[in-house]
Amino acid sequence: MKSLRFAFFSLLAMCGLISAAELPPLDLFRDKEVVETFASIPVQESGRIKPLENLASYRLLRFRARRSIWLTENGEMDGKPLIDPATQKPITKEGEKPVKLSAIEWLLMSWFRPDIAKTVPLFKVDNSSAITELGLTAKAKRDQYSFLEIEPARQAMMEKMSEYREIPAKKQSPEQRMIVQLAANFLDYEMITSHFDFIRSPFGDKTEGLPAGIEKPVRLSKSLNVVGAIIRSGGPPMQIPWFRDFGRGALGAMMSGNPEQQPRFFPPSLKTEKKWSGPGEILFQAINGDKDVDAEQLGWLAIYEDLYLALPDSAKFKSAAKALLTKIQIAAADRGEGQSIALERHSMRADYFFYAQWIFLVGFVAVALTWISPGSRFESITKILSWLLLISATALAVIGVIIRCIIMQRPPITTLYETILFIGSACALLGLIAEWLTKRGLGLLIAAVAGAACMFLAIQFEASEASDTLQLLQAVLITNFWLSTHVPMINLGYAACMVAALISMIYFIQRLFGKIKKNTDDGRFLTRVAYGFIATGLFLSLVGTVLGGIWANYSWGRFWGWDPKENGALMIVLMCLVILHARLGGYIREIGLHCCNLILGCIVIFSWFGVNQLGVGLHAYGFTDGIWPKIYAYWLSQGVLLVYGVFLSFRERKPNAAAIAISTIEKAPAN
Amino acid sequence: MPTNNYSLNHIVSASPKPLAKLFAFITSFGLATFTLSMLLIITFLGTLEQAEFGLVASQARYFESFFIDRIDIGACWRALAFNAYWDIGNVTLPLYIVPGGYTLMAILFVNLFCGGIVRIRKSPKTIGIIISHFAILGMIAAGAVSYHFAKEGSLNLVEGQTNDEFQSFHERVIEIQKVQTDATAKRSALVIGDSKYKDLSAGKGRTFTHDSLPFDLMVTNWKQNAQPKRDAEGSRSDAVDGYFIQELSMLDDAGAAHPDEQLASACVVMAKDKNTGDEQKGILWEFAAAPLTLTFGSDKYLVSLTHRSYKLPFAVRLDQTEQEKHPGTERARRFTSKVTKINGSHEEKRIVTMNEPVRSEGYAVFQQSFDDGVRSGSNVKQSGFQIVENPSDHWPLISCIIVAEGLLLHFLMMLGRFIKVNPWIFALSLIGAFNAAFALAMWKLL
Repeated sequence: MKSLRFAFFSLLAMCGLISAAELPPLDLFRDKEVVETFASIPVQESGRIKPLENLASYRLLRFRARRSIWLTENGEMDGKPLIDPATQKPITKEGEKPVKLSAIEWLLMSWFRPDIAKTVPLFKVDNSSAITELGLTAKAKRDQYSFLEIEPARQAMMEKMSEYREIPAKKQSPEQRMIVQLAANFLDYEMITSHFDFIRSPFGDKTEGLPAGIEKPVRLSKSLNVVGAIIRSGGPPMQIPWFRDFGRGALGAMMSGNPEQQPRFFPPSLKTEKKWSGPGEILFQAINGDKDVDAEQLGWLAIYEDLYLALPDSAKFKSAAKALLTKIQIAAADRGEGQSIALERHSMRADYFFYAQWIFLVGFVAVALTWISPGSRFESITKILSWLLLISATALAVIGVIIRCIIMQRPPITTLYETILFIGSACALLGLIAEWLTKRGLGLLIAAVAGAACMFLAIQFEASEASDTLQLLQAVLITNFWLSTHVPMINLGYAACMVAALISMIYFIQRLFGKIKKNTDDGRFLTRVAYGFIATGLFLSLVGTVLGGIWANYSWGRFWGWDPKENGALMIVLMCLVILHARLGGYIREIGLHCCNLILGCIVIFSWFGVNQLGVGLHAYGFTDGIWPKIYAYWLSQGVLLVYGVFLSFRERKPNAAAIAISTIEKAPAN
Repeated sequence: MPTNNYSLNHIVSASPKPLAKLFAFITSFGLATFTLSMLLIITFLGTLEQAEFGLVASQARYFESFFIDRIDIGACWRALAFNAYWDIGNVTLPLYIVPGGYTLMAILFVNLFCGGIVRIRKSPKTIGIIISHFAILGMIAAGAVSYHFAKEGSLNLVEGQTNDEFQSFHERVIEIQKVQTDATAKRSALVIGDSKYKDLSAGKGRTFTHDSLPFDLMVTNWKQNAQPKRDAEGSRSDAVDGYFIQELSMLDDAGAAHPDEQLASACVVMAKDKNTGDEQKGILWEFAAAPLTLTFGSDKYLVSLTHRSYKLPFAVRLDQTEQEKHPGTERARRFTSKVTKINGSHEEKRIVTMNEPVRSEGYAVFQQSFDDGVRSGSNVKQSGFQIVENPSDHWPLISCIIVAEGLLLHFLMMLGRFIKVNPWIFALSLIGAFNAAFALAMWKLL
């Protein structure tokens, strides 16, 4: 099966053009009703049942690093609108006005109007030298290319991809990585645009040599088993004249080179069967299977065909789409599945973390306004405003996290992405609690800065990963008790330590601008609050880490394995202990404590993101390219503050040292 | 600033006695801070070195050692990916003065016991601290007990197979076994631990002897990762029966360390007859298909380089395996093994599954790996079990509960004083709430 699929890959090419009269207008796929219907279709992909909108959204994010696409010549909103290649007229009813498509609209365009879809700038290339290496004309250093622009280099790209894939990831040059990524995206998109080819023209142009027993117009739902029987009995399939085209259609129906990522639209009526079926699955069953495809599957295929064959009549298409949706929904509900589709669509549209980010930022501005005239009425008004903004932003972030838990029916953190959301929400909450206890504006600042930073980071991280952030769990992690105790605790520990580090950053910045002077009440206040967060961080990290060890001990027989992630957590605990004991021993005072806090922050960043990059150990989830430079940037910024801190402490110690020297001299004769 | 004012190193007497001075030193905050800082640094370095040396080697060098013999700065540099900007090449700091994890843990134990329990001022304000110090002592002790006395290893069974021995993960031994004529007799073997031959690189040798053996065994030319190779030209002086030991790289193509279990050590052994002085030579290799056979008179001996075997007090038979995958994917959801525990004639059916080990007679059997034989084409289903016997198995759990309560008590009382409420009522009620939440989670989810 694998080798056959590979053979198709090397053969895949553009399907024949269809005459313009049969083509549905693009506006049909922007119709609100149509979009709503398709967006809600439940589909099983990568083992999880999700709305089709989710699948479309992450595919587009992977190709383009954004979730929407402009129908213009340069792919941006300021570009010239594209022309319909079939009619040479504007492609939308807006005419000369640029139009933006949502992910699901883009998917529908790719399915039903591939001729247009292939002219839209889609593939984002960050490195134009990769384009040059493929023998194409590069545009700007970072630009977007349409399918048709890349297509001439298809052969070269495939050859290079198979060559570069052999190189270990760490040793690939940026260009090589780009080419591998582009080639994979190109192949995937080729399959997306040919998704309906198995209905459009199941045997390509070879309509004369049709197998006996297959009537025209060909509907595979009627003749698939005849086809299957011929393939099974006809010797090497690649020698059957129409087989190549049939195979291409089957690959398009799969819509992904990775069988796990094929969309499975059809819930089986058999309750014990967990795996849904899809058009690609059914076609490959006919090719590879040793028995006939059953009637239930063929029934599903017929409904799928009805959908495509209803075109270009818009009324018929709409009712066919609704019929498909309803049938899938009923079949899924019958199995007790797909209940969270509506909730997931809601959370995608509500985009909690995006809005939370902006409200945190506005909240930050409001907090900054409180500093303008201390003690005035303006201050109290802006303070109330900041409270309101930050509470609503925090609430949005927390609700977003909770909705994800409800969709997946599991505790909040299972991936690196989810740690960012959780830690962001937790930092904001901790900041608000600190503010409630102390009422001096510091907690508001912490909530605003930490919340905005983490939401921003989460959005960036999601775009760079470009895969569904609601992931299924590995076998060892399927235990709700430990996932809801050890993991949140460790992450709350990270959050508390990051807040402590943030307070120290605020301390040094305020010292720099002279807002806090030596030995003042303000300085002592910051120190006390920072101390409180270190204590909280110690408790959470220590207990969280040990709980992790206990989980490991009771689940797979070892308490501590010196695994990098464990060591990272241990380092946080040790740093907190160092700070507390050094402080009690009098080795560090105000400035020393804040300096140590900065180091603590660096350690948290190392164990949060850094250890995952080492590529060793059991916890090596979420490996991300290019995260090191971001870690260095953080370390460097802290290093600068640390140097300033050391400078401050020397400047302040000098007179003290002199005073001690004098007192020793005075004492000396007494001994 | 906390209100604890029990700083120990500030206690200065007029003319301290040496013993008192020493006590002041070992109980000092200074020693605690230093030890914790050193632990922090070696943890950092030991973590970074794992990228190139693998977990087992860096664990031995940093975390289980008395002194750290050298620090490979170059490897740490590359682990942090700094080499993308500036490649410093191979820089190694040879030293024997930096204390390793074992030493530091021991110092911390003494410091914590003397300073944090014996000498600390006893008052309601320090009670939480004392409780948590006590629990940390328990954790360090648990670590020491498990380091010295725990046995762990793996047992791989195909469906239908029975076994009562398991193999250590990382400890390799040279095993010498007399071939027994009676098939029902218990297997018994003499072993040479790896610490006794690991230093025997090319040119070094050591002879081992035992009263029950008719020969002395000399071990030489040991290599940690190697394979025997045919000496085609017949020119090598170290060849044995036309083969020599070729050393292999410890790193894979991408420059990362091979996991320890993929390393195959090899050595040359020479058996000298105690009576006649006749010599027999051979190569031992971990991945060899069969042990080396030595013949002395009518007796045969099998010699092999292998993972150390431990005996279980019962035998385990794998009856059936089950694998559940996430629908439509190759990702595992659950592995389960139905096993039978056999103790003489007594048989007992048990089920081992992910996160749910079977415990019996001090041993715990965990589902570790699973192979459905599809990739290898054999279609033989196989389960890998991890087997652990650890006397301090449950100590960390108890310590964790105590340390959590102690720290909560201390920090919540501090917080209570900070926000000016009754610290006892505040702390105890929050601790109650925390414990209730945890108990609820255990009851509902575990």
